[in-house]
Amino acid sequence: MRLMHTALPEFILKIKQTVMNFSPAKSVIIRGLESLKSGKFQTLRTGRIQVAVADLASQKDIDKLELVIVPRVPETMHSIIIKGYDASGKPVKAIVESINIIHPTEDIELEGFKEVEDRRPPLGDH
Amino acid sequence: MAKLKFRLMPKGTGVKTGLPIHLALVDIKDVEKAGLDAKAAAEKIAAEVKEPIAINFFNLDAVTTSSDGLLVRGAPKAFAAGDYGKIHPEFGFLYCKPRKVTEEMLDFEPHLRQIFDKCPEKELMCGPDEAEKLIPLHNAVMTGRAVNNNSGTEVMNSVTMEEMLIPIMGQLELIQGREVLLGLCGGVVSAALAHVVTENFSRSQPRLRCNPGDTIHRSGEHAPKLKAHLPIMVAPKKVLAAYIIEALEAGMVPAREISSAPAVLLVAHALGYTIIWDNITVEAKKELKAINVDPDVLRNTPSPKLTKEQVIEKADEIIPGIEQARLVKADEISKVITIEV
Repeated sequence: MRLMHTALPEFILKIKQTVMNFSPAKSVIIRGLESLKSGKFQTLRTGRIQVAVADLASQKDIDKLELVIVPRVPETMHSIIIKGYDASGKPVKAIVESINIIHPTEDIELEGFKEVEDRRPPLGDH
Repeated sequence: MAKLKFRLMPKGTGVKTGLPIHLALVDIKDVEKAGLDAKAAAEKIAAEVKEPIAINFFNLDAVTTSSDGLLVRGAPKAFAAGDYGKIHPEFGFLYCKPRKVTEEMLDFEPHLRQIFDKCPEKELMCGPDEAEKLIPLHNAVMTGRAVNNNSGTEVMNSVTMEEMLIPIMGQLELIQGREVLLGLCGGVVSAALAHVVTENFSRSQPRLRCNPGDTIHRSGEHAPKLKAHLPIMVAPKKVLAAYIIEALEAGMVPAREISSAPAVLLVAHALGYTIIWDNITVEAKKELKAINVDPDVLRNTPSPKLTKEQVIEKADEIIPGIEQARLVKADEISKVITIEV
């Protein structure tokens, strides 16, 4: 389990199914994965996230869930690929660059919540 | 119950969008009096203010250097970012790295000779130790929307994306209750910011590499546009002139030990000090010419040989830069607050 990986569509399906298991009337919105076309998610942590989703979905006073994925480290380093094609769509030249982006920390998503249970391991202990 | 004193400049202070988040300036002696360390004090202030805030701690007995290589009395000790009443436990707080200036450091960072010669006993405070920060590039702390970058000298709101520059000399004037200049960077400051010196553990990056006389941006004729639109708070020009004069009197030569920033060149020229014109690189000249401080013209213009008192008196005429400038008293734009801790 620790070294296994869950594919992106399966991750999304598992989250939705977990909520559905409690009630078809309950719903979940997933934000933060919109630009991902593919990805392998840690299976062990996918399970832990399912447990967290189940913990909220099982509460009688919770009808709607939101699952938001933000960078844990609020400065992320990215490669930028700039691609040029000819008129027929054939690749001509690409340039690869680098950029760092500063993001808000997860706190902005927690505004208004009186009860916040932080289940994350410390950085570096994953 | 102990009390903690700090100076608070509220969000919105300044020109245009102004300060994007609140700013608290704290004397480390007041933190010690309250029986706290800087991190605990930052948590207390964040809990009190509850909104996005940059919190900068100063040791007024230490020294630092400006990015153009000038000795500055009073120095940052630590910097924090708070929001929603807290400091982020992983990214919200950093100490600056204390350094002791030794002779061995002078070959690589020759501008430090002013400290070595004049006040070797003083602790030199710069940026953080890169080994202690968890983000890859910026010398920044972050909590929620609050971003306190370049070791407490550039503040942002990462949601509204507004930004303001607060260089160290202006903050030191503010925390000591004196006057500061509010305005927009404009073209001159935008270009001047690139004229820096080589520093280890600089406030902006761990290993800043730029020979005096060169530019770190290398942006040519575009230099005046880079940061022109940003609000800024700086020390009055007479204060900057006095710092430049102190460096010149300590034997620092523009484009050799200290930078070729426009203010440095113009003050040195007004006094008749030596400038190593040939060390000013082609790229640096392009930027200086773009703001009408042409080194080739200046070197062929006889110095008026003013006295240092005259230069300080005429600092607003000699040193260009800052648009929509407004000189304000510290108490007009900030107030001293005391909280129980």
